[in-house]
Formats: sequence, C-alpha cells, structure tokens
Amino acid sequence: MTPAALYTLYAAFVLGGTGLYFLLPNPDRGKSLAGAAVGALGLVALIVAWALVGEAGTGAAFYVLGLVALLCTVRVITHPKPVYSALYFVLTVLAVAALCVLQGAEFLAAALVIIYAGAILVTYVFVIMLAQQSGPSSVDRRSREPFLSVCAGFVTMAVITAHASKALESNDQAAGLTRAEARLASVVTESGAPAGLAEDEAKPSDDGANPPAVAGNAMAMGGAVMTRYMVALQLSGLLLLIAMVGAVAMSRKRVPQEGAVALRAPLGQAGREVPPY
Amino acid sequence: MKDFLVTQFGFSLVLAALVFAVIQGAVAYCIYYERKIAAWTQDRYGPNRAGPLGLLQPIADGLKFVFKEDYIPGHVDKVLFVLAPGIMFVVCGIGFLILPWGGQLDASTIPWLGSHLQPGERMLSVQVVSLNVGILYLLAVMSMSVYGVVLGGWSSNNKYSFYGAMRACAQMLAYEIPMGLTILVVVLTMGTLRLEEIAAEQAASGVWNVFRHPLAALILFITALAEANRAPFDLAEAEQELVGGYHTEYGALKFGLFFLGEYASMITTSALVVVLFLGGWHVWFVPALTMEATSIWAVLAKMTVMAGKVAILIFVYMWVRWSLPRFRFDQLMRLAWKSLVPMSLGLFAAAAGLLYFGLHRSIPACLAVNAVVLAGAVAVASRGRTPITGRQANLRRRTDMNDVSLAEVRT
Repeated sequence: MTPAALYTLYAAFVLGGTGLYFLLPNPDRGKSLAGAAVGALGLVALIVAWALVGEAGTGAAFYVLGLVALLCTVRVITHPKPVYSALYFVLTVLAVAALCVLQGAEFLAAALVIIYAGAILVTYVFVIMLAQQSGPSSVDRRSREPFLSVCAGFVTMAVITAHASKALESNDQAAGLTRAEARLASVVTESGAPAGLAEDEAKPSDDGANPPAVAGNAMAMGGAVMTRYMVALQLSGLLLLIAMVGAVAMSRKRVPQEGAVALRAPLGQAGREVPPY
Repeated sequence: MKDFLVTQFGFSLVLAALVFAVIQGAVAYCIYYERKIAAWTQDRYGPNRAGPLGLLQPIADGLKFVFKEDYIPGHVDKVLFVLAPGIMFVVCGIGFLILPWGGQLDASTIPWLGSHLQPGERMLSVQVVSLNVGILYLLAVMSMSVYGVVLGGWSSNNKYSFYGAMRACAQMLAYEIPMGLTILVVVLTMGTLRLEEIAAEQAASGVWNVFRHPLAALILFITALAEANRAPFDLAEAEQELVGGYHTEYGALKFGLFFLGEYASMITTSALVVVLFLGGWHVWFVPALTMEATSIWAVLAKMTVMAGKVAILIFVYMWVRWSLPRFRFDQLMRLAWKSLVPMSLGLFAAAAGLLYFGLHRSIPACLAVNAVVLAGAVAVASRGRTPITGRQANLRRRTDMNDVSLAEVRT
C-alpha cells in the first residue's frame, strides 16, 4: 500500500467518523446536513483510497456493492425507526453476500443470507414489531454515547486495517485464488479429503457442460470445518446449546392461574386480562 | 446473434424469460384451477361464464387487478407498504432460476438456430444458472419471502394485518428447519448440492428418492405447504379470523402481486419436491426421457413431464386445501417443533449413519431407517395422552378455570 493511499484512507476514516458522529440520532440537534456532507466527503475519500489500492476490487460491481453495504450500515445505526434499521441490516447482509459471490465464496454467501437475513434478522424484526406497538420509544431517538462509540469504531478499524494492509503487502495472487480459498484448499489437500468426499470427487461428472465442482467451496468449507477447525466447531455448538438451555430456563415461568383476580378487577377493567385458555 | 442464442448464456437468458412468462401465465390459470377444484370438492360448477368452460376468467381477473384504483390508505407506512409486494414479486421471480427443467440439450438439434453445429458439439443445460451451492440458493431466496409478508402486515398499521404478519413470521421460522433438514437428507444421499445432478442421478438409476426416503418426502411436502402459506397452514391470512391477514389493506395490483407471490411459490416449492424426490423430468420406460436423449424434442418432452408432475403436486396442494380444516396456532407450532423437527433430525442423523456405512443408496436400508424413525415417532406419540393436533395437556379448560375462580370468589 502506497503512502498516498494510506493517508487517503486515514482521511476517509476521520471524515467518515466525524460525519457519523453528527448523523447519529440526537433530538436536541435535529437532522444534521453538515454531518451528511462530511460523511459523503469521507465516502469520496474512501473511494479514492480504494482506487489507489487498486487490486482489491473486481470492477464496478465491487464498488457499487461496497458502497451499498457501507451506506446501509450507516443507516442501521443512524435511522431512528428500529424496523428500518433492521431492514437496512438485511440490505447490508445481502450486499456483503453479493461481495462474497464476487470473490467466489458462494457457500459463504448462501450461508450468510440463509442464517442472517433469513433467520436472525427475521427474529429481530419479529421482536421489534412486537415491542413497538405503542410507537417508538425515546431511547431510539437518542443514540447513547455517540462519541465513545465512534472512538471504539476507530480502534476496531485500526486493527482491521493494520491486518488488511499487512495482508495486501504479502499478497501473492499467483494462483488467482483469494487467500482464504488458497488456505482452505491447502487444508483439504494436506489432511486428505474425508472418505465420503473423496468418493464423490472420484465419481466422474456425467455431463460435459457443467464442469464438476473441483474444490467447490462447499466441499472445501466442509473439509476445513471437519478437520482443522473441528474443536472450534464443537465448542461453538456447545456454546449455542448452553445459550439455548439458559434461554429456556430464563423464559420459563409458571403462569399464575388466578381467574379470581380478573373477576374482582374494578369496573371497566374486567375482561381486560384474559387468562390463558 | 444467431450463434449467441445457442451459447449457454444466451440460452439461459431465453429460458429465464420463457420460464418467467410461463410461470406468470400458470399463476393465472392456477387460480382458475383452484376455483374449479374447490367447486368440484363442494359439488358446484365453479367459474363457467367468461369464455368456454370459464377459461377466460383468469384474464378478466388479471385485468381487474391492473385497472382498479391503486389506493394507499392514509394510516400506513408508505415506503414499506409499497416495498412489501415488490419483495414478494422479486423473490418469486428469482427462485425458479436454479430449477432444472429438462436435463441436457444438444444445440445442433434446434431447428434453424443450431443448423451450423455438429451433433454433440455443444451441449446446453436446460437450467438458467448452475451454481455449485445449488439448493442453498433456493433456500436463501425462499427465506427472504417472509419479509414480504411481515412488512406487508406491519406497514398496514392494522391489528388484523399485524396478527397475520406475526403468525407468518413464527410459522416460516419454524417450518424452515424441518424443510432444510429433509433437503439435507437428499443431499447426503446424492452427494451433491446441484439440483440438476440430483435429477440426473435419479433418472440414470431409475430410483426416485421417494422410494428411498418416503418419510422425508412427506415431511418436505408438509413444510412446502407451510412455506407457501397454504391451507391447512394459511394462518397468516385466515379469512374467518383476520379479515384478510397480512394483505387486509391491500388492493388492486399490489394485492395481485401478493397473490402472484403465493402461487409462484407454490409452483417453485412443488418443482423442488419433484426434483428432489420425484425424479425430476424422468419417467420409466420412455426412451425420450432418459439422460441420453438430448434432442430438442426430447427436451420439450422432459419439460412437459416436469410441468405435469408439478401440476399434479399443485392439484394435491389444492385438494388438501379444500379438504382439511386450518390448524390452530398452538397446534401448528407443536406440529413443527415437537413432531416434524425431531423426525427430520432423526432422518438426517440416520442418513449420515447410512453414508458412513456406505448404504446411502441402498433402498432396503433407507426404507428400514425411515420405518424406524416413523415407528419411534408413533411410539412417542402414543405415550402422550393426546395427538399432536389435539389440545395441549397442560392447558386447562376455560370452563374448569371458571369453576375454580367462581368457587374462590364465593369463599
């Protein structure tokens, strides 16, 4: 990464962060056009930085999808209505999934959409809609600690950018594979594919037009997850199980079955509380 | 231009446009089909005024949708209100792209367009796109369709619509799990995620997956009914309780788009069941319907067979709708979580076990596994006091409760 690109990137972060600070919802200030302008400048700087780095993208689609993802992410945290925030989150996930497809990581893209957009965010929307029946709450109109969170965002970005720039420096794209895919492929070949997979790979594809999925990334992911990352996989499964047991334990309450209370309620309140069945 | 149309890309474009148009038309006639089946079930005539046998009725209905006033009520969230039918339409428009309609096509047999090609020189896949994640794409697209329903219901700012949206949301989340698990059973058996390979292997061996895993096929069909919001799972629109459910406030073309989405997702899900379990375009003992037959006429025959199988499944959808009463919501949830999820989990684990022992293609072993899972489920169910669709045991009857409370008040 050239110094010019690096400083443009810094400028983009500072401008973007400042813009974001002013865009975060705050009822005392109202809508901040200046914040939006500064943020837009930051985006322009970011595009310039991308163009200077050059090799990160794969043409116009990358820039468009990247911009969509970024703008939607900003709207996730700046939109005052939670339902819209969740929907912008869905859009972000879709844009990121499309970026994954551009990088040839189709399995990751499909998993992102199925799990995040299709399941987790539907649950979010569900909860938000249930919770928001009496209009938006005051908590949603004022962001909590906007300055500190922008600073925390800076630190996170610094860590990620440091790693990314290191990766860019040692980037060898000889095989035309992305680094992650090269690593996955090496995992599969090192450890030898599991028995079932080897059998399927040996089986010749019966049609000529569709090339067989050589190191198709679903297979590579499967191989990596079941060999090198086996412990991590099992641990995360266990963690989810514990979380589920905890959630059941916390949410399970004995419903008090006292119809008498409802009958004794003052006039006008009677019948409001319907006992379950 | 002439050569472009017989490359895979050009052919895919033509096929996408063709299938999209056919599905739009099929949706209109599905509604006619549904009304006729409803009529036969209830011993009536059904639509018989517009055109011969009422065949012009769907066209009249479609024109009515287009020409009605496109009214947006004042109390709705306008952006999402307009967006919701759009989401529904887009989702139903891109889901079918992955479906294989007719195996391989030898481009040289296409009249005029392929005349300059040698036989076997260029093989086209009769499928719009072939992704190596195959079926996961369809699952991803189908999981997005819930947003159309949920946003439609929420943005209408109406309690009935909102209840419909809530029900649809919980239902789709619950039924996606057994659906995904039964699809994984097929993936384990076939060893591929590509739908065209799954169809081709069933055709090559002549053994449809339904003969290996009938229970999985049944569960997939039930979840497909639920995902398409069809009776007995149509709690999201339940006319008798919720006026019209999530589309109470919709009219004209926007309502038409919701309707289109429902019927198009019926077509897509039944095509999915056909490809996964019913052999796709394959029928036994017909030479035109084998892997080797790749001429344009054979492909057209295969597409017809596939469409016929889809039509039969859609008939079953409608037959179910006009025969069975709707589930109550707690029954719906218990059916998903207490019966379909454990059974499909059991099937999935068993299929993985069969794969480990190399028995995943053996029909007796697969059938035995299905029988064991079914017997286990029946055993557990018979130990419970009520069937899964009955009243939940720990809920007390309202009359009992009233008695208790009255007694308490008296003392």
